[in-house]
Amino acid sequence: MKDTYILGIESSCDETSASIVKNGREEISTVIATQMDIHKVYGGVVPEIASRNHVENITMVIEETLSKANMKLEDIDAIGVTHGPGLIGSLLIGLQAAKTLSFLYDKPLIPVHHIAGHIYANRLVDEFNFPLIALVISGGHTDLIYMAGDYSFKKIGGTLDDAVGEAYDKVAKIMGLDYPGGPIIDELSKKGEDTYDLPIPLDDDSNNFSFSGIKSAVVNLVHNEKQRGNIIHKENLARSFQERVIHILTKKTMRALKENNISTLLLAGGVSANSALRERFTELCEKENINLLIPPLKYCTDNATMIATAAYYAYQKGITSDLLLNAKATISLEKEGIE
Amino acid sequence: MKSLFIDTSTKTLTIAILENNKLLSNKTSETTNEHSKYALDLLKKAFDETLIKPNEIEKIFVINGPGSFTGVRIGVTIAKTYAWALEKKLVPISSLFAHALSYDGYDYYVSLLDARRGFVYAAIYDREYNFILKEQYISIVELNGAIEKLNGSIIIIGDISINYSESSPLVLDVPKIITHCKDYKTVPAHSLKPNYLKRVEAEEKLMAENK
Repeated sequence: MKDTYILGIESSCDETSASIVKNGREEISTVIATQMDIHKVYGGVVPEIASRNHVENITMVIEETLSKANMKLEDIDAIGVTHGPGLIGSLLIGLQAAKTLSFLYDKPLIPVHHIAGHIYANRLVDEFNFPLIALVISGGHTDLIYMAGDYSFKKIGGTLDDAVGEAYDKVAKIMGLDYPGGPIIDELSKKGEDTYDLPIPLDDDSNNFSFSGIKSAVVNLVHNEKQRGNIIHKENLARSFQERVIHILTKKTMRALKENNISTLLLAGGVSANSALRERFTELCEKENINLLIPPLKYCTDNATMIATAAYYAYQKGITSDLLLNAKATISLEKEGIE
Repeated sequence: MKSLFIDTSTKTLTIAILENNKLLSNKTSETTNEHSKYALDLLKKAFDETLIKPNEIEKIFVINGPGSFTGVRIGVTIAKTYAWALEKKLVPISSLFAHALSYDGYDYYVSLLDARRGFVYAAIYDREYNFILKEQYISIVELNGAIEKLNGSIIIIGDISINYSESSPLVLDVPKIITHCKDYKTVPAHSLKPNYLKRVEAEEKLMAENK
């Protein structure tokens, strides 16, 4: 069978990235131009600054990706691009570049949902045994997704308010930590004890999550301790916060697996880089005989490798778009897949 | 010489294909906030109409601002991707200059675009299109002051009115623009970027804090 090479383009937030993936599982080359240091001084991503950097980087990133692969645009079979969700101004840059190349070289254009990308990052390291459940955890998402087969997504639970990564960043900010706060909290908590009395977030029978309550609890705690003139033990607070979050994420995910009689779990999204979370899920899945897929750290943050990979499976299912493809800040993952 | 002209900086999307100064196709679309969706489709339609292949284009002329930040980035991204991929020459042109060039017969051309909150992006050119006032982000009050000093026939071209008279509407005389700009300096595709004329607010705030 002929090999299929897909060029993936991703620009949904503050990374401009391009990648070539062969047959939906072999990474040929990837380039990521990150703007993390540019946004750091603002304590978060400034959308207009992100857009300005994307437009400056985009062609260089694609050129470097091709040259690293020793390939030409003519050698590419199709172009996959993130068309949402994300920052609209940022998404537009990758989208216009992808549409232009699709037009000039008459290549199929494949719209990819950013979260489908995160899920399919796992496909670069392992087979998918369906049905499976994906726990998508990032700065914008906390979703339990049921997949009956390739490119079929059914949401069976999700956050009712803040995404888990968002809660991490906000808690880090209250504690006076740098941006992005997730990795710092993870690191601090290794040196701390669970001494703070924080509530367990939404501990009920549903598959849903809520992280605004625990975030407010941390805000109040820090505020009260300051008023009393007490010093916050950052390591311990990080540990207590992380313990509650991981407790509820693992509890509800393991229960959803059991209830649906599913034996494969995959983690996806930026928060799946959290070391304690990876450890806890590894232990639990071993005990329950669940096949666990965790993306390698380099695929946890935003990258085009996962987009090119997801695009391959979308393409297999006949998902392509004409040149009227537009970017959207929010898109439902369920509607992006097949029935 | 076959050339392509792209403008996504204002509410009218314009794509034109020319042979020397003759228009082979001139597509416009009033797709406010939807340039992202329609630009490539319009580009394809322009090519379909002319039977010219994208590779036959020698030079790409693109309006690189000022104007809507997002709008300008759409045209710039298309132009630089095209120029890079097919190794074409790339010429950026100012929106304000293009609008001024599209009128003639005046001593002074005041070209402006709304930048909101009492500000505009503006430039003033004389009869020979030399700068009287360099392109800048300027308050309407200050611009009116500069206009008052001019002696001669004046046309004000823009998307908002800045004094009691209405501004002349934005039009693009693409053949005239291309003829005038055909020998302009080309830029390498990778280094083409929008000319915003204005910093991001977060940057301005940070700079003020650090002073």
